[in-house]
Amino acid sequence: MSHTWRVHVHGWLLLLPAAVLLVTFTHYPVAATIYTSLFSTPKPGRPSVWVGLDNYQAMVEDPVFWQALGNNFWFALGTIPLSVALALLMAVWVNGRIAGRGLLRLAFFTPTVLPMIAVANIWLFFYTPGYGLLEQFTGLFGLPSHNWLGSRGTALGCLVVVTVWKEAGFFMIFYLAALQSLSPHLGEAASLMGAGRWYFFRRVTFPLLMPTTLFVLVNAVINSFRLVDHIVVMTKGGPDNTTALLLYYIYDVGFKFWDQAYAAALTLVLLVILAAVALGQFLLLDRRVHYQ
Amino acid sequence: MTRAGRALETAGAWLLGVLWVLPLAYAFWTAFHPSEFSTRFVLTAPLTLENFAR
Repeated sequence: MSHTWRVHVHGWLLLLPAAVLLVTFTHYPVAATIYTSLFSTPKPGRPSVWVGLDNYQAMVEDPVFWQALGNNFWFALGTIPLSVALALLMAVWVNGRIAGRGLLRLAFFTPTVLPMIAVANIWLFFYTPGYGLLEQFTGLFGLPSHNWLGSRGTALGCLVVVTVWKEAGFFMIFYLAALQSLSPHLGEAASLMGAGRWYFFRRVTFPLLMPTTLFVLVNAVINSFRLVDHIVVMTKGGPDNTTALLLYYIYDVGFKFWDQAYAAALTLVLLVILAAVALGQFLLLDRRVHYQ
Repeated sequence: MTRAGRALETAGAWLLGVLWVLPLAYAFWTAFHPSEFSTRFVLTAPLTLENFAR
C-alpha cells in the first residue's frame, strides 16, 4: 500500500464515525421525509401509492395549516424581540458590579434548566380560571374573571409569556460570555474620552456583540418554530386552533390523525421555512457583524 | 453614573430577578404545603411532605 493511499484511508476512517451519525440522523430522515411526502399514507388493506404533489396541494387548501403558520408568525414576533432584548438587559446587569450578582444570575438562568412539561404545569396553574394565581391577582383590583388560556384573544399571548420566561435566561448566557470576552481597555479608553455609558454601549459594546446577536437570533427563530411541549400541556392547540403552531399541527397530523404522508409534507415546508429564515438572517445581518 | 442611577439599576435588576424566580418559588411553596394552600398564600400554613409521599 503506498503512503498516499494509506493517508487517504486513514483520513476516511477518521471521518467515518461522524459521517455515519450525520447521515443516519440528519440526511436520511430528511430524504425519507421527502420520499414519504410524495406517497399516500398506507392504511389497512390500502397500501401506499405514489401521489406526487397531492399532499402539497392539500396543504395549500388546508385552512388549519395557514392558521398554524399565521399563529407561528405572531408567536415568533412576540417571543424573539422580547426574549433577546431581555437577555441582553439581563447580561449587561449581571456583568456589571451589582449587589447579589451571583443570585441574580441564578434567578435568570434557572427557568432554562427546568423540564418543559414542569414549566408548563406551573404556568397552567397560574392561568387557571376562577382560582389560578393570575385570577387572584387581578381580583385584587376588582377585575372580572377571565379564562386566559381558553380565550382566543389571550391564549397565544399567555404562551408567549411562558416562552420568554423560559428562553431569556438561556440567551443571557451567550451575551454574558460575549460581554466577558470584551477587552476592559475599551471601556477605560471610552471613559477617558468622555463617552457616556449609553453612548459606549450603543457605539462599542452592541456592535461587538453582533456575532452573538446573530447566533441568538437564529436560535430564537428555530425555537419559536419547534414548540410543542407547552402547547400539549397548556392548550392542546385550542381554543379553535388559536395556539396551534406549525410543529404542533405536524404532531397532531402525524400522531393523532396518523396521516404520515401529509405530516411529512408539512415537515418539509417547516424545514424550508427555517432554512430560508436562517439563510436570510445570515445574509442580511452578516454585513453588520463585526468579529473583531 | 450617579449613585441614584446605580441604585435604580440595582432595584430594576432585582425586581426582574424576583419576578423571574416567582413561578419557581410558587412551585416550591405548593410542594411543601397541603393542596388547599396552593391557591392562597398564608404565611402560617402548615408544612407537609404529603405531596412527596403521594
